[in-house]
This record gives sequence, C-alpha cells and structure tokens, in this order.
Amino acid sequence: MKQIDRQWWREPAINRRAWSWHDAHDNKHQGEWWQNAVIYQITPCIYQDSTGTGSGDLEGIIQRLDYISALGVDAIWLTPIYKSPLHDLGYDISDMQSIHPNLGTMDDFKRLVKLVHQTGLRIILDMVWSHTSDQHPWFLESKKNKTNPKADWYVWADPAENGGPPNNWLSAFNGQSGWKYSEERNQYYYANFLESQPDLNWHNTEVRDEVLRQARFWLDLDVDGMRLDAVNFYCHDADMQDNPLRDETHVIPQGIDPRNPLAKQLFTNSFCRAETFEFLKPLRQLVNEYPGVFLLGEVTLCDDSIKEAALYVSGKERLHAAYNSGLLFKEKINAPQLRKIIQHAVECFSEGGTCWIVGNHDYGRLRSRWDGIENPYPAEFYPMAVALLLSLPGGLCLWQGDELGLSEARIPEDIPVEKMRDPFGKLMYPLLNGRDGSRTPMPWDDALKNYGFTSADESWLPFPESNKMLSVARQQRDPNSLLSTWRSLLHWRKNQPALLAGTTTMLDSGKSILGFIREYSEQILLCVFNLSEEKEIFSMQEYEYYKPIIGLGFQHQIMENGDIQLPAWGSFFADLRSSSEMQKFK
Amino acid sequence: MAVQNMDDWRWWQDAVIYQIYPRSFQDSDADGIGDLNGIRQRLPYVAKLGVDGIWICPFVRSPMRDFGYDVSDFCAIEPLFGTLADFDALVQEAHNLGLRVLMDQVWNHTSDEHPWFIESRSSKDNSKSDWYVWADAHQDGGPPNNWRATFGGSAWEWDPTRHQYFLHNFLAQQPDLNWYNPDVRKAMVDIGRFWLDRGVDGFRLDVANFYAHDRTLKDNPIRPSDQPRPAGAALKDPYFDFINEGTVCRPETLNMLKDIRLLMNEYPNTVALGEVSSAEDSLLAAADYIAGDHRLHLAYNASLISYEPFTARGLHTLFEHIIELFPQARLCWTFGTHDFPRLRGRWANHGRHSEEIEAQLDRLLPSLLIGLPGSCCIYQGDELGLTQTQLNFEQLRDPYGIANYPEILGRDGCRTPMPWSEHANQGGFSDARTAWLPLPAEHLHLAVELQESDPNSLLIAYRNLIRWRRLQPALHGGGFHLYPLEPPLLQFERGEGEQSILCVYNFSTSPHHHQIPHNHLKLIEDVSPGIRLKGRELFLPAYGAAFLKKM
Repeated sequence: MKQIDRQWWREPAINRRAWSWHDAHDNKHQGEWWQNAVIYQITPCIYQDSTGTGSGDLEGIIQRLDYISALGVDAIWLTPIYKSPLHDLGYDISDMQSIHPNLGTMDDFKRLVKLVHQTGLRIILDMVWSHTSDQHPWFLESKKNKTNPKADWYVWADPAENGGPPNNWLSAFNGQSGWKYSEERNQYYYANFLESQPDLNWHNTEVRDEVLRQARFWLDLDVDGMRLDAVNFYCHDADMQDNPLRDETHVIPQGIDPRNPLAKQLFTNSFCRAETFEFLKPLRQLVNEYPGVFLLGEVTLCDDSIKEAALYVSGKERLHAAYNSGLLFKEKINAPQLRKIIQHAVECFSEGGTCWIVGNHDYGRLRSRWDGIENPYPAEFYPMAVALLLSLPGGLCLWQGDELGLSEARIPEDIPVEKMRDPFGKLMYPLLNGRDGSRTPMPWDDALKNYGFTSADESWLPFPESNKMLSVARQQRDPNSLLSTWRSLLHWRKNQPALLAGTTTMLDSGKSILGFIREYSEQILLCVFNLSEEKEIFSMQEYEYYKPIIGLGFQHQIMENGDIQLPAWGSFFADLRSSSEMQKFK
Repeated sequence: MAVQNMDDWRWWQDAVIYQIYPRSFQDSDADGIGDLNGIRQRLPYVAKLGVDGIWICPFVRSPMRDFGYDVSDFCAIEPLFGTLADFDALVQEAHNLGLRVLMDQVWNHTSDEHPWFIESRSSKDNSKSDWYVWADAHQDGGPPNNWRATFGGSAWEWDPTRHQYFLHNFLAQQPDLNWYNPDVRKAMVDIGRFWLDRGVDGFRLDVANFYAHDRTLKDNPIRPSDQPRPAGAALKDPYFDFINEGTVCRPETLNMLKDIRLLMNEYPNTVALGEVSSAEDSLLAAADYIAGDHRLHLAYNASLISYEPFTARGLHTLFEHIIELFPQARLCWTFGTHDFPRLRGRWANHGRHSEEIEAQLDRLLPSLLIGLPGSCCIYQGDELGLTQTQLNFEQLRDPYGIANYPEILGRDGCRTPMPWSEHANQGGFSDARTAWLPLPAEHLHLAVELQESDPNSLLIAYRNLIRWRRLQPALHGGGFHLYPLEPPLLQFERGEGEQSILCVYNFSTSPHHHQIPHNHLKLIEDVSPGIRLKGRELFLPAYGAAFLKKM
C-alpha cells in the first residue's frame, strides 16, 4: 500500500501544548485532530467577492483567512467548488475535477490550500457522490440509450404497468415522485433531490471505481478531509421495492418539515441502505494512505440520525466521522431532551467520530433553531448556546455567519420572491421558504457598500436589514459581542483537554438545568447550563472541592452552602480536581 | 538539559512573544502615530501568526522625550495612544484570541516631568527628596564621578534648585529612581498591582539590571583594549569605552527583585520578563536575574544580537555556555527589538550574497529561533523581512540618534511604520498625510497584504514555523542535546525519545552534505524547503535548516 508521510498540520491535536500542562496519548480517541475539530463551513459564493462580480470566490476566502484563523476554528469546509450549472448551490456537479470559473482557477485552489495549512488550519472539501448534474457528460451519455458504456451508471427503471413511475419513492426536495421520465430511453431515472440531480448507481462497480479516482485526485492536492454529501443516499434497493408508509408509531425525523410529503414514508428502500457500508470500504482504504485525512459523512433525514450516523463510523472500514441532525429539533430548547440526545450520542459513538451541526446551508441558522423564529430567545441565550455547543463531545460544524448570530432573512420582506436562488425554495414557495434565508452573504462591515462583501451593485442575495448591527466590524469592536464570545470560547476550548478528548458523564440535573462532566487525564470539568428563563440553583453538595472557572464572561453566585445559582440562560464551568491536586496546577 | 515534569511547566517558558512598538504599528485616528485602537484592529493578524502573546512598548503618560520610556504617570494612558477603556478592550480582545498581553514597565527611571521628580528636585527635605539619586558635586565642581549615560555624555545632570547632581543612566530627562528607598520599591509594586488587576499577563521590565547603582559612587574603569565589547553594543558607542560596573548589573539589584516576584506570585501564571541590557556578559547576567524563586521569571538576553555573521562555532560555544547557565531552560531569545538595527541586512557590511542565498538566510534565522529551548521575542516587522531604514538627520526622532549623529545613527531606522498594504495611504499604517517616521518606499513591496497571499513569502515562512512549533512536544520543555561541532553545521536534538526532533543548520554560503547521527529519521516536509535526505545522507543548501523526526 502506498503510504505518504503525515503532514505536520495533521498531527494528533492532543499533543498540542495546553496552557499549563502537557498531555499524553489517548488510545481511544487516537488523538486525531478531527475527533474534536470545530469545522467552519464556508459557501464560497457568499463569503467574500474579490472580483466585483457580486458573487464570492476562492481569492475572497484567502483575503479573509485572518478572520477565520482569529476565530479559533480548526478547519474550513468548503461547500462544492466545482463546475456546475448551479441549480443547487453547486451540489449538482458537471465536472468533479475542476474549479467553477466563478470561484477561480485550479491554481487559486492550490494557493488556498497552501495558505490554509500555513495558517494552521485544515481544509475539507465537499464531495457529492450520490448524484451528479444532469449536465454531467456521464449522464448525457447514459441517457442516450440502454446500451452505451455509461448506460448503467445511473438509476434507470422501466415505467410501471400504468406508465407511471416505477415505485413510490419520493424526492427529498419536493416530496413528489423522485422518478423522472426520459423520452430518449423510454425509462425513468431516479433523483433523490432535484430532477436535475440524477442519482449515481452505486451498485455498479465502475461507478464506485470512478469515485475512488475522483477521491485520489483531491487527496493528492492535499485536502485534509472530505465531507460526503448525503452519504446515506448513495445506495437504493436494487429490487426497487416501495418504501413502507410511516404510521403514528414513528416519529418524524429531525430536519424534515412535517408539511413535506416525504414525511409520510419510511426511507428503507430509496436510501439508508446497508449495502452502502460495504461500498465505503475501498474508499476508507484509499484514505488510509493519507494519514490524518478523514471522511466526514452527512447522515441526516433518517429516523434516528444519531444511531444511523454512528453506524457509518463503526469499525475501521467505514467513515471516520459523521454528523447527525440530532440537535435540529423543533421544540423549545429544554434540558431533558438535550440530555437524552447527548447521552444517546455518547452511547452510540463509543469510539468517537461524532460531529454536531446546529446551523448549516440546508437547515437554517443557529438563531432559528429550537423554535427561535416564532419565539425568539433573549440575547443572554446565545453565549450560553455557544458554551454548550463547544462543550459537547466530538466535533462541531459552524455555519458561516452563525458566529455573528445572523438571523434568517425573511421572504419576501428581505428577499423579494423574484430574487430567490434556492431551487427547493422556488419549488415549495409559499408553502415553504426554502434555504435562501440562511444563505445571505457575510456582512463584513456595515459602513461599506454591500457590507464589504462585494464592490458590485448587487450581491448574490440581498442583505437583510437585521444584519446592520451584526456586522463583523461592529462585533470585532465589542469585546462582549457574540463574535467575541465565540472567539474566546473557541480559544479557551483548544486548551481544555477534557473538552477536546474527555469522557462525558451526564448528570441528573432536573428539568431546567443541563449538567455533565467531561474528564480527561488530570482534568475534570463540570459543565452546567441553565436552559430556563428563571434563576436556578445547581447543587454542588456531591463535590468535595471545586474551583469555578472565571473569565469566560458568565455570571454565577455561590450560595452559603456552596451551591451555585445561575441566572436565566446562565452557564457555569468548574474544575473538580481535588484541592491537593489543584495546588500543582496553579 | 533534561526534560522536566510538564506539570510544572508554565506558558511563558516556551512562548513566542510578538513585540509591538505602538507608535509604528497601526494608527487609528489619522494623527500619523500608531495607537491602542490600531493594535486592536490588527490583533487578528498577530493571532494568525500563531504567537502566544504580545509585548507592547510603553503607552502610559509620557512627554515622549524617549518615546514612552520616560513616564510621567505610570497609571494613565498617554492620550496619543488612547484611553484606559481602549486598553481594557485591547486586553479582553487579545485574551479572546488566545493572546497574552505583556506590558512594558519602565521602573528604572521616570520622566523629569513626573510629579515625584518635580517634588524631589524642589528641595533637599521634601517627602520625595530621596526618591531619586542625588549627589553633591565633585570637589572640582564637576559631576560626582565619571559615569556615562548610555545615550551619551555624563550620567549626571546639575540641578540649579537643589544645587546637586542627579543620576540619569539614559537621557537627562530620565532621572534614575533610587531603588535603595523602600518607598520607591513599594510605589513600583503598587503600579504593578494596578495593571495586573486590569488583567495583563505580565511585564517586560525595562533595563532591570540598571535599578541599583554603586552607592560609593566609585569611578567606572576604562575598558582594557583586550576586553571585547558586550553583545549588542554598537561598535563606536563611547558608552562602552568604560566597564560600567557602578551603574549596570549591581548585585544589590538582585535582592530588590523579590518584591516584584512576590507581587507576581499573587497572580498565577503571570510573568516578569526582564530586559538585561548593556551587561558585560549578557547571558551570565540574564542567568543571575532569574536564579531561584525570588527574582524574575525570565530575562531576555542579547547574545543573538550580533553584528558579526553567525558561525556554527560561535553558536556552538554560546549554546554550551547556555547548558551550564540555564539548567531549567528558562531562556528568552531575541534577534532584535526597537533598540537594535533590523535583523535583515544586519550583516550586510560583511558582504552581500545572491538573493537566493539571502532568502535562505532569512528563513534560517527564524528556524533557529523556534528550534531553541525556551521562549523568544519577535520584533514587529522582522517577520516581513523589513530592512533598516536609512534616514537623514532631519528625519531622525530618536534622541539617542540625534545626540550621537553621525557616529551612531540611533534607533529610528528600525522603528518606521509597519507596511500593511502596498497601495494604501502610508502603506495602510495611517490615514494621515505624514507619519511620525516615514514609511520607506522599499518596504512597500514587503507589505503584509502582499506576503499574505504569497505562499513563498517570508511572512508565511514565519507563520509556518511558529505554528509548527506549537504542535511539536519536542520543542517545548527543556530537552536540548548539542552535538559535537562540525563546522559549518550546527546540530542539536530537542525533546527525548519517540518525539525528539533533530535540528540541523548550515551556517555557510555553500551547500553541504552531512551524515546524520541516526538511521530512521525522516525530514519534516514543508518546514524546510530545498533539503533532501537519502538514508543518513542529508543535503543542505546554503543556509539551509532541516528538522528531522524519528520514523
């Protein structure tokens, strides 16, 4: 097997110097950097425009590396940067080994990779292997007839007896039949998402070999990770049986709008197929040749996203990590539900590899989360949310703009209907608004035209009025802004081995308070969050000794008996090492 | 040097500290002078370099005779630089970025406009009369003795009101405080407490080895012709015609440091970093200042500020010395500060090399710095490869340079503003039409913005090295094993066991083939370009530096 040397920026992160003491190894966590990485998700076309086209580009990201590095994240994940008709933000690829001309050139990309590494960051690319664009040469060839060399590269089926679609599978996008009739072949092809995104046929070995070839191309260009878009959609049931219907005994998966017709089915045949695990083996073997590089799966839209995601990372022959949609619940935030979710994740991901998302280009903003649109949370809520997210075991994906607390742009008040970009939104409006609301460009400086995002008159999507007070420039000047909170907690986290690699023990802390203990080597860190609008008391009677961690911007009061009183939406961290041990670490 | 128990290790023992000269870093209010809010704007740049902390040169109230090293109020911000609220915000923002903040404390002397001095000079019997070093005239009516000021001339100035001389080791506008007076020492501790309570992470103590003087006021002996001048001393500086034993590195000073250390101990994880300057043996003095638990935590030494090109032999001797003097590796290195000519081009009068070789040298130096045990300071602009600016007399602002012109050109040439952006007004330093010192045109093509986007720039090389060092356990801790000298190569090993790193430097302008001491080593790529390894045969280009790790 070919084995290239591990680049220094991919060395196990746990070997990093802590503030005051040094850490060793942890076999369970392998000390890999990605086990606890905070991954900053960037969609280049809405990050920074360097050419005045109104749409962002790779050079724009280079210009903003200062900002990203100062934020304190570990890696950046770029949503697709390849040639594409852009029907779906680039998730419809027409050439997997190219850079979209709007974003720059391959040389720009290579320079970006180099500069990213030299900034101590890693770069993760989005790999869309579940489907291609219908403009991809493979599909253009495949749809010609039933005998061409690519004829079996996509999911083709004859019409049902009545001439209709071959079975009941629905598109995850519009909730209508995922089958599209092609007159040229007199057959239907299947598309889990848009009809312009035909599904690749993963049962075909040629397709799987081709995917490996694509992967190697980018691995050789020094990317540090690959985010596998819709990995649980790779395979379909080769026998093409109908999906069973969902009855009342099944909960609706997190991340799916109950109004979406898709919610009526169980997805056992159109996707979430066990065959996928087998097909991932050669991919993992390939990536093993590049030490420190990892595969991050997107495992969402399934009944139990945490459990399903864990299946994708179990053992050493599947993916390294997978993110789940467990935190995307609709209800108001509450301790019992979070406790259950975190505990579930701890149990399912016993060997690590978990990763959380709370906002992203598909699921909207952190600020909208947990019923935040209908019932907005007060300002004090968000610093607590940051502390909570950064205390969870595993990695975290942070969607660009969520560090600023951007709110979702409204349609049509902020984004006129004719300016909508998202094909899903266009299809579903006004029943659903789609995903444009969380895809407005970065507001860098409210004193500049188009917030400094572009020098063009019109930007990719308009800026909502609510961005005015939330620009980067404004928040950078305010040490207490949400951006400053993210920064300080991200930098603090980097030096807390217990948060990076520690075990997680959930505490039975009642209805209002979420409490858990993270422990690694000599560090025992108590993490307590008040998820209510009232002052709450957290009992410290069990702990012989504790030392509150101050300076993180959170308030608390120590009661006479040593218990802690937290304000509404308060956070509290304490070191639980015994006092004699503490002496050593002063 | 042995690896220590890392539990006792403190952040400042292997920190990379970025030195900011606030007048020249970033101007935020278009007066042509940099300020605290300017630093705040540029903190992301500093954080991105990967350094652990910043040391900011003085920004407290001062008449600016010596650009802030003449303080008239130790607990107020000089209005030129901003307000206390600006400073508080700066500290918090720096902490948010994971950066520690060290403040420059000038406790050897004050400005002559400080209320203490105004009172002290008013009579022989006021409450501050003994706060400065006063002495009657010599029998002949002249100064009490032959002591020189480092900035030129006698160290004594006649005061016509008190009819006495006062001591000033620097400018006459910088009277020396009398450290033998316990009230003075208490006043300094109170000042320190004021700033520590505001959240600063430590102090850089200006000329800490000048605090005490010889109370017998004996003349300083003339330097024997066979005794070399100290490291960092300018060749023609008349100050070093003497051995300044009455004013520099007095043993009495060492006991006076205890009060400072006790204060720091109340604030865990803070650091007192002493400047040990003008000492005859910079290293020996630095070792004295940090010995035991009652003196300073760290002292930086001038031994790498050399006007002669480095040789493997010279450095080897230096490092042998280090192993003896600093068993705990409590070292702080620097190639230059706001007081010395710029690192780049410092050896130009020993002959220029091809651009390619000069570029290798530019990268060899930071590779050496980050390979050494201990902590280090990097002076702003050195990461860009800024050269010493040649200024004419009218452009000089440094009193030391003006007083000694043209024999000594002073320190303005290393204090010109940071070039941020090639095409912006004043290189992005200021919106003013003129800056307090000109930003030389030849620095514009070294602007941060240009280097940031060039993967082969010196800035990127610095960032690379600093960030890489952070990830190497071997480069933290004290582990340091020096190999026998093999000129022109210098070779040492850092760390121990599995994680050790072999550092090899070629201090010659010719490429070199070298047998490395172990099998099974591999080159760390990307940190050291142009280098090849075949088995045990290492090829180093001119001024090449290689880091090797166990396979």
